[in-house]
Amino acid sequence: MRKFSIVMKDRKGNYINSDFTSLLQVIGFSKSAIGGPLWARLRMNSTNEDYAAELVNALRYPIEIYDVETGEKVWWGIVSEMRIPIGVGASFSIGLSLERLFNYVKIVYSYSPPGGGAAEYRETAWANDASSVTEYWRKEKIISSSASSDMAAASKRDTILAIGKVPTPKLDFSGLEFPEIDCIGYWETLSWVYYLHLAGVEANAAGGEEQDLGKIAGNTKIYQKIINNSGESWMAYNISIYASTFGTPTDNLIVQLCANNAGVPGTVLATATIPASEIESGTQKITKDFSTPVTFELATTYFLVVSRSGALSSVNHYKIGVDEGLSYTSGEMRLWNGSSWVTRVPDADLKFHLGGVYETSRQLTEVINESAQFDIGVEVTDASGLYSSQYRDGSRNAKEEAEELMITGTSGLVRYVGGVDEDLHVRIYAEPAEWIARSTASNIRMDKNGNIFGMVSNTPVPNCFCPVGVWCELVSRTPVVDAIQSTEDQFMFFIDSAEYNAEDDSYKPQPRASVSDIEQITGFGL
Amino acid sequence: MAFDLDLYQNSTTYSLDSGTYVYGVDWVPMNGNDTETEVVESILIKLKGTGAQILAQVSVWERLLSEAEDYAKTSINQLLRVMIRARLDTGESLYESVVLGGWISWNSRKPQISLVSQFAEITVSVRRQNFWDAVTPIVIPLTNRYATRTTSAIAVDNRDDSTHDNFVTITGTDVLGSLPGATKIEFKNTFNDSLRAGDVYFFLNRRSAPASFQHMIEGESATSGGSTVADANASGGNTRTVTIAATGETTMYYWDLTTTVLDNAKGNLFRIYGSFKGLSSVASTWIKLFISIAGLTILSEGKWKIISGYTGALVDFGTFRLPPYLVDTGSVYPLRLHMVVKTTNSTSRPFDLDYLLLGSVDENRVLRSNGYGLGYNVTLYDDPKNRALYTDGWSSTGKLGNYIGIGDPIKLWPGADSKLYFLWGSQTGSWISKYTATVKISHYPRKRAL
Repeated sequence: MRKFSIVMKDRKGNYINSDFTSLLQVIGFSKSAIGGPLWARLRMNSTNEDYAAELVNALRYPIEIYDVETGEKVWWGIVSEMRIPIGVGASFSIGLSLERLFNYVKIVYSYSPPGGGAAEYRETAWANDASSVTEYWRKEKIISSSASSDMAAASKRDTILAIGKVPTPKLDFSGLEFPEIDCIGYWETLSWVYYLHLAGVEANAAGGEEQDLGKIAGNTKIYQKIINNSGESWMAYNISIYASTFGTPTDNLIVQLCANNAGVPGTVLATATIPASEIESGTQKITKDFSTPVTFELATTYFLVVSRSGALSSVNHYKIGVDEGLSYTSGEMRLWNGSSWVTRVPDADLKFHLGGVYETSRQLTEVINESAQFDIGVEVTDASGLYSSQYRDGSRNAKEEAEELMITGTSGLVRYVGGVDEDLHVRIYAEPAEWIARSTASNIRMDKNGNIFGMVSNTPVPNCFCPVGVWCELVSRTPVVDAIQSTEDQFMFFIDSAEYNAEDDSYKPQPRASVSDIEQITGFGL
Repeated sequence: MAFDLDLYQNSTTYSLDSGTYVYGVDWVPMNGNDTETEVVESILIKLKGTGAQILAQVSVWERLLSEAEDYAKTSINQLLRVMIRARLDTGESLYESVVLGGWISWNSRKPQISLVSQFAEITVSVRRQNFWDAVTPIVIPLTNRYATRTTSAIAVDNRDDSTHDNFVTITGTDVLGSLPGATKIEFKNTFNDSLRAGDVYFFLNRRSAPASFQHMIEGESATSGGSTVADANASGGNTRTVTIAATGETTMYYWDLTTTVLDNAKGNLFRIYGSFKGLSSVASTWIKLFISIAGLTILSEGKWKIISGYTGALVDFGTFRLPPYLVDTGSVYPLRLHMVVKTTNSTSRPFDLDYLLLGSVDENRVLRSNGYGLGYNVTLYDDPKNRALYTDGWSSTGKLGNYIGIGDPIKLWPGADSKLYFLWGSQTGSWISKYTATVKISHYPRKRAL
């Protein structure tokens, strides 16, 4: 049986200098091309109850597995669960797990106003337990509730937090003889936090009123003052407004993003043009890309200016959606009356949605940077060439967001692969192409016995290195392999994940996920 | 021929083959095969005395076996550890094996119910580890430029050149026994500086022509890349500097691996460490090594190591097989070893390499400081036979358990000439090629069959 050295740290990062780590025996572990180390299982090769008691404290301890023969670090992660017999010959064991631990809790619920009225969507503020966060890292849970009042929702949130902030024991009656611990890779901890990224949207969705535009001199133009309060600068990419036609205008609606010139619209930075043919007689949301995306600087005042390209007409003009509830708090709306900007009566804000984009590789970097609790560096080494909105409403966790971006991949039509490396840095790169696989030294060959070799050097690679994210060529000449090769030219597959079984020193790679697997991973249909 | 057979605990010997109440012993040593971790010895003992005397004697042995079992479970209190000690003839070395438990059975009636109560015969079954270690360790004579076959502590350097050695040579015939045995290494920091030593690395080369294998590659010996800068504190008296500003993947240095180097390496695995006097900490910087045929076909490549924010001077480039093909055929075609950097922005990145160490992984061990490190004149003891890893020699008396071991402790192989390489970093990560130490090695000859 191959030997491994186990290194553990406590939750403050101090090495565990105890004999109990030397009694831990690796059962197996796995890795994934997306994320890196997935899981590991170890057994304490002793019924020593003192050590078992010591093990109880080890939840969320960082753990590293070294191959003794080569000194190579072959797996790294944290302790996520343990099952410990309560004594020699005991009929059951006690399990502790991070799975059901939550130290940040929020409730979303349907609020019913007292005395009736339409129910409305509400959510509580996050409640948290700082001590638990210090020990186990931030682990968030958003719970949907049927609570109908603010008080009931807050009470439920606090009750769940009180229960969930510590690992709750569960009993196992499977007759476990020795303590076992399960570990997860650091990538998995990205699923512990929801990803909220407000940058990328500046909007006012409230209101249902209309404002004439281009009918008379008093409504020649509309401006809405806006300020980027999202916490960072971003690229304004498109604009949405709510508009309808009155009569049959044939000109264009013009929406401009303008710089601030002493409190009124100044230099035009970007323009979106909406032909009358795209506007209907009923109010609808219309979205247009700017001709050139422009940087929307943090904490800087801008103006959205809406006008028509044709002449004023009382019979053929436009109506623009506004909000007389004045929900937008960062700036006012004004009308141009031909000589000056004046306040509408009654006053209102524009209904609008200014959308931004990032290159998806930058989004990937930010998702991980902003969410990882282990990370000391993240690098997406190949730019994606693809752009999409970076705005995230916080309804999905960071792992889901990151993996979706990785599977979306690059403009070269390949996925991203990579994950947490042994120095706890995240390195993500475009999946290497198959056509260079046979000349790439880090790729492997595998014979029919499951032994692996360097692709170019053809010398043995220890199975416990458990390579993933590389191409593998099946080199044995059997009728089955030949049959596959006759159609595929070569039996080459990309290793998406792999398991290593320490008990028989075997390596079991799995080829790249099928389309349905990807769909399952990302939660979106293809 | 007269054999000794005892149980031993905490400086006290409990004879199984002699004493007031023992008048006969019949024992044939057991040997397990190479897959078994423990064996059971059956020792037939004839006792004489009153019933109470015999029972008292049996009770002592039974207590020891019970405590041995407890120790095997807890492995904490060394004072409870019980050994079975034996030698098959006078004049032989005394060997011992850790007792893991055992039991005693009566072959005759118990004395208090026997009509002939002055005699009894028992079988002591002793469950023990499947090997014997010599009780007394042998200090291994060590050789390098500072001494020849010395059994005193020998000086070693954290660099290797015409005036420094970072290794000791071990002669195979000095390593006795028949199995690779527990080896105690005493590593003393002799560099007088307030900056303490940190992690310590041991690499034993016994497979790759230890007498002639070139385990050091100096930065300044690069065939291409960078420029040589004199530094009296560096290995070879120089470092090799290069500044990279280009984005993408760029070769910093490469070295020619000659046929001699590759032939001596014999297709074995090596961990390659870089000792850098200066290492760019600019964001988005990754480095790695690869081996090629003349810079064209890449035969073997390591993992990218991120350097951004890295505070150490030693970089672990991972494990490489040398040569990467044609294992030990001899006359291998020369290859190239490249160090490359990958960046995503064009910020200038300076690198200053002292040397690469090709650490044999035949036996390899990392002693990682978990704080405080190894001060001047403090010794790091790696003593696997006594399950001890500690530092001692601090101004305040006492052993400090401030290191953890990664990998198995080094074992010396009987009859095998070998070379033990040393490498160490500082507690803060600073470059310390100028540091010195002394080393002393003791070996416990190990056998499966007495």
